[in-house]
Parts: sequence; C-alpha cells; structure tokens
Amino acid sequence: MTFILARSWQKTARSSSSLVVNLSRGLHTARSSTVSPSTTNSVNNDEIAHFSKLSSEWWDEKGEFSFLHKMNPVRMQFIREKLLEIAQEENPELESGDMLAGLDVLDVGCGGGLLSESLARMGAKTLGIDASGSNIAIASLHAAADPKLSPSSTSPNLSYLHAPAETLLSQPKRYDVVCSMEVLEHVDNPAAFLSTCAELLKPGGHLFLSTISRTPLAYALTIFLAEDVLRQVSSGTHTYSKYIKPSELVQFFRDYPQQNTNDSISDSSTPLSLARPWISTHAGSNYLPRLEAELRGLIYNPLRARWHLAPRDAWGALECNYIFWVRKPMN
Amino acid sequence: MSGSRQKIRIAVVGGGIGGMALGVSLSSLSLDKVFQVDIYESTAKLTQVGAGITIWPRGWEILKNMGLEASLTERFSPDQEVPMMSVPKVGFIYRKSDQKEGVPISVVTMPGGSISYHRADLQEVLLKHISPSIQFHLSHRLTTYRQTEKGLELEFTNGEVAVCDMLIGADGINSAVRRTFLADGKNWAENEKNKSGKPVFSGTYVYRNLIDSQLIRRDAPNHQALTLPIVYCGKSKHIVAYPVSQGKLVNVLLFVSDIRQEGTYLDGPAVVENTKDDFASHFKNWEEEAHILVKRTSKPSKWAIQTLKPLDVFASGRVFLIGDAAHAMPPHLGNGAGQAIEAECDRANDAYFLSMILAKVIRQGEFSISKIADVYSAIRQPFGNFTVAATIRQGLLYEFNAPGYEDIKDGDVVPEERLNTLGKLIANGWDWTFQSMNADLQRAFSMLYGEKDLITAKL
Repeated sequence: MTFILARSWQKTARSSSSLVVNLSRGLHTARSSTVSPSTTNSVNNDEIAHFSKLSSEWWDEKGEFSFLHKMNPVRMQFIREKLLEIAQEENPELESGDMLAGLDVLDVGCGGGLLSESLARMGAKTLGIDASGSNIAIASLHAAADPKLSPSSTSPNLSYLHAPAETLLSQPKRYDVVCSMEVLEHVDNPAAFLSTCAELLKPGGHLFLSTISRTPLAYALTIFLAEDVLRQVSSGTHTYSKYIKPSELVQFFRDYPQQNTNDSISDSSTPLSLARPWISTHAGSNYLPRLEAELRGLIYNPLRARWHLAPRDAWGALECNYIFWVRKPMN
Repeated sequence: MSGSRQKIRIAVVGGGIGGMALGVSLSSLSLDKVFQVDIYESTAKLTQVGAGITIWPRGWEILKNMGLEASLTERFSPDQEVPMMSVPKVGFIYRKSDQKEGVPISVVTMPGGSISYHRADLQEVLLKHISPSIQFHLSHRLTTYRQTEKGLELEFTNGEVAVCDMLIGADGINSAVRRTFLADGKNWAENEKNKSGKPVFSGTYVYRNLIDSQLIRRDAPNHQALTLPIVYCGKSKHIVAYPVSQGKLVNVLLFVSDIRQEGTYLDGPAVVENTKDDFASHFKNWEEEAHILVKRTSKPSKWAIQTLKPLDVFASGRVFLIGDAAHAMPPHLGNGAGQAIEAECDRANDAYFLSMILAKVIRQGEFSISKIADVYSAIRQPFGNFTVAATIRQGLLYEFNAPGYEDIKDGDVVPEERLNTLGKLIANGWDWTFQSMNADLQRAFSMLYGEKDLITAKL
C-alpha cells in the first residue's frame, strides 16, 4: 500500500509546482513541456510514446481501453442528440434522422479509431488524425477489415492521417464537426489545442470535447483507483495537473476568439472584433445558452460496467468525466 | 391494500457520532415512519471521548442538511460564526522544529476556517434531533449476527437477541459488525475471524493533553498556539497544538513514530491514561516554542494510532459499514479518529449519504436492500480508501518520512526550496479529502435509476 502510494505521489511531487499554479491558472498560459521547445506543437512526446506502446490493445474490448469502448455509445448518443436539437431549431418540421450523414467530421486524437468508425458508420465523411503513427496503423488495419469502411470501397467514409492537428491549419479544408474525446487531458498546451480545433471548424460548426475534471474525486477514481489500486489502466495514463475543469473550458470559449487589440485597425468606427465570443454569458454565470454550449456529466456505473449520460444541469455530475459541446458562431 | 404495513427494521450498532448522525438523518427525512430504527450501544451511558470536535465548512454543510444549523448556532460563543467557504482563513501553520531555531514551512489557509465544539454539546444537539420513535438500547454489546429466515438475528453479550432487515455497523475501528461481515460466508475459525479486518498499528503514538493557556502565557505571552492551530514538524515526530474553549485551554498532541512498526498488530492496549513514558526526551533539541508545550505536558494519555487495511466492500447483502467501522484513518487531516482532532464529521458524511439513498429508494417504491448495499459500497469505498491513504501520506509529510524526504535526518538543516515544496504538498493534502457529496449522490442515483436505454447505433 505504501509503495503504491509512493509511486503516485512521486508523480504529484514532480508536478506539484504546476499543481499549485493550476489553482489560479487560466488556459491561456502554456504548461512547461519537458520535450519540444516549439510552442505551437501541442503534442507531448512522452504521452505519444505511452499510447503507442499500447496500440495493439485498442480493439480488445476487455483490455486497457475497455473504458473507452464502453464510453463510445454514450458519446455518440450525445453527439446525435445535440446535432438533432440544433437542426430542429433551424427546421422545426425535422424528424429524427441521419444527423451525421454527409457531414465532414474530424476526429482529433482518434487513437485506434473507436469513435471514427462509429461516426463513419453513421454516414459522416470522417477523417481521424493522431500524433502516433502506430495508432493510425492500428486504426487503418481495423477499418480495412470491414468492407463498408475500407478505403478501397466505392465511397470511403473513413480515412486516417498520422499528423497533429496543427498541420491541418495550413490546408483550406474546414469541418462541420470536430471531435476530440479524452484527448485534452493529454496535451501540453490546451489553449493552443483548443484554438486549433476551433479554427478547423466551418462557421456554425460543432465542437465536441470529452475530458476529465480536476477534482479530488477524479483523482481518486481515475488515478488512485484505476491506475494504482485496481490496475485497470497502465500507470502514467493520466496526470492530475493536466485535468481541466468544466468552468475553465467554458471560460476559454467566453474569451475566444481573443479580442486582438494589436490589430492595425485604428478606426474607432470599426467593430472591435468581427467575431463574437462563442459563449455569450458573462464570467460569473453558470448558465449556458443551450444553442451555444452544453456540459454533460459522464457517469460510470461500476455495478453494470456501463457509462451513463447525466441529465442536463444535473448537480454534481461534472466532477469527473464530462463531455462539452460548443458551436462556432455563423458569419 | 388493507392491513398495517410492516415497518422495515433497521438496526444500528454503535451509538457514537456516526450512529447518532444516522438517527438524525433518518429523522430529518421522516424515514422513521417507514423504518423501525433501533440503535444499540455497548456502554451503559452515552458519553463522548475526547474534548473538542472541529467542524470545517463541508462538514457544516452536511450538518445543515440534516437540519442542525439552528441548534448548532445557538451554541456559538460570541466570537464564532458559520464557517463560509468564500472566506479564506488560516487553517494551520507548519514549522520545522527539530532544531534550535525553528524554520517556517508554510501557512495553509482553508476556505471558511473551522468551528470547535465541546463534544458533549454536539452530542446533545444530535440527541435532540433524533425522533422519539428511534429507540436507544444501552448496554448492548454485539457479539455476532447471523442470517435467518426471519431476517438478521443479532446476539448481544447481555444475552438478548434482536432481529432486523438491515444492519448498520457504526461501531468504530474495533467493529464487531465488521468482524462478522468479513467472516460471513467463509468458514474461518474464531481467531481468524478476529484477525481479518483487525486494525493495524500505524507505528505512531500520540500523547494528548489539555494545557491551561495561562501556563503557556507565563513562558511566552505571544505563543502562537494560544491563537492559531500550529503543527511543529520533525523527523518521525510532530506536535499539533490549537486553542479550545474560547482560548482558555490549548489542546496539545505529541506524535512520535517508529515507521518500522507500521502495519503490525498492536501488542498492548490502544489507550493508556496518565502514561509514565518519557515523552519529553523525544523533543530534547527542539526549538523553544515547541519546548514550552512539551514542558507543560503532564500525565498525558497515550493513544496508539491505528488504521484499517482497505476493505474491498463497505456493504453487502443486508449489512452496511459506516464511519471508522469501514475506513478508520489517522487524524492528520483532522478527520477520522475518536482521538485527537475530529473535523469534517466524516462519519456524518456516510450517515447522510446512506439516508439520502434510502429516501430516494423509498420514494421510488421498489426497495432492494442488497442493491442499495452495492450502490453504497461502489460509491463510498473508493473515496473512503483513498482518504485513508491520503491521510497516512499527510502524516508522513509532517514527519519527513514521505517519499522524496526520507533522506532528511533528525535536526538536519533543509534548504528553503525543499521546504517550500513540502509546504505545497501539505497544503494540497488538505484538498484531497474535500469530497463532493453532490457528486456521490448523483452517481448513486444514476446507478439506481439512470439506466436510460442507450440509442443503439444504426448500422
């Protein structure tokens, strides 16, 4: 028991300074990375190596990634519900349908392709990208086994690319939906990462993110219990100081896009910024306009080994895993 | 349907804070109309061990939810007010004291500070809020229980027998309920039954006493312990001191550890009153400020700090364990024990949580005790065990025995940077045990009822 504690606390000791800084830190400051000096690169080489080692386990539903497999239906449920809600807002006559059909969807940090395959099966034109080459290899291999998904089929709905998200910025293509599930807690520079995801969206596009909040409960469940005690996932999978609270995510999109006062626009009749903040409520408010953004808790039931999407505004539901949706303004 | 509804019988073993909190909680939710609740206490009289009990803001929230706020505020002394999370106050001052000139480590602020009560006052408040339909049975010490077709049959040393549908073990670290619970279903011999789930020694003894503030004032009129909680840290020992009774007394606790004895089973008694140990010799070379407190300590009581090896399950079938019976921990984060500082009313947390679950389930109509047991255990066990581990770790930090600090020896001068990091780790340690009751309840409710049919993906 003491040994197990020693290991996990050593990790905390190493990152203790960032732990304390976190308390007052916004998402705008870059975390110190032990590896790449490039500040635009959100990839942490240690994290990539960790997940690459586990690549072959992706599609073992009982293995290392069983949690993610079990989470997939709930994520898909939320994505489809939200897309339907927005579509019905614009067209009240619309009945439930293939919300994803024909949409350009980007899955950032697709791993072994768990989400990408589901999106493609629902008719989305899906590109899965990942910074780990071995993950992409596994994902491609698995997709090739299904004639409906294989790139050699008549209209491939699914393709993969070994690349970090930033590299797509220089290309013209933009997406209707960008998903990044259980990735945010692994990147070094979350602010840059979110900006990149935001920029890859078409106006009116949808961003879906799922991650873990930074609370003692989350530590107890996802690190202490899952890693150290029960060994359900490999040690080092998660780092507490990288967990992001829902309020921090919301605040980022209240402030995004940054009001750029260094612009050469000096004419006072020009609006300060051509784009409005993605979330229009002010900092003190807990209210999220449902057409702008939504937070939902993802709750794990260990008795049934199933995930459950908590109801809207369920108190206490955002203390561990949660999913976030925000819409890029039109114009 | 005609005929009188048979009330579901709940037996609570243990009339301490945990058992009483459960009584209060069930009463405040009017569950005493649905359940027949009996509380069995081994002693002949309900008394409290120890002097003070400290309540932090989150503990206050729970007591407030149980309907106790008015009664508690009634008993405030003039300088006390409701602890509010929004107001940061000094929680603890930490110093390295095992050298002639002590060195500060850190000052930990806590949102809202704390309130101290005399334990007897708290007990009085709790008893006042327990519905009269809830029966206390004193002088009832449980030996064992067994499953029969009538329900769970409880056997007491006084020869009496009781039957219940649901059994709650609130009988502390030496819980008789836990003993039988762990052995249940396994054919273990009697002494094996006693061993498994037996409390283990942490390696630390604590010498406790209350010192008249006047005595300390004579030596040092501005002694910090007269006004603030303070922890004096050293290698394998530390001293905790804080004012109680409106500053008339200072509660002083001298902790002395032998880490080689950690994890062993205690040989002698857990408590010795008026010990003759030469405790002062442990603090010979300590700074003057700490010395004053050791000097004024006379005939302290000596307590062995014990903990429980983490249990896999906190409840199963018809049996539930709450408080120390499930997760006894050392007092380093002010929670747990029946010993030194008791903060957070941890046992009240378990009691409150269980009552809320019962209330929800009763309202939905379908009542399965074993399902409730599974949910209670699935939610409370992980964090309960985590809190024990975090608290043990906190004690190691105080005594320079935590990983990364083991190299430090008695009296060493430690560079400021290392002490700063230590200070931050200590501060963070306090955060760990602030558990969100709302999150636990939300997870429990969703486990009981949230099974929406998932939309199956169209293929």
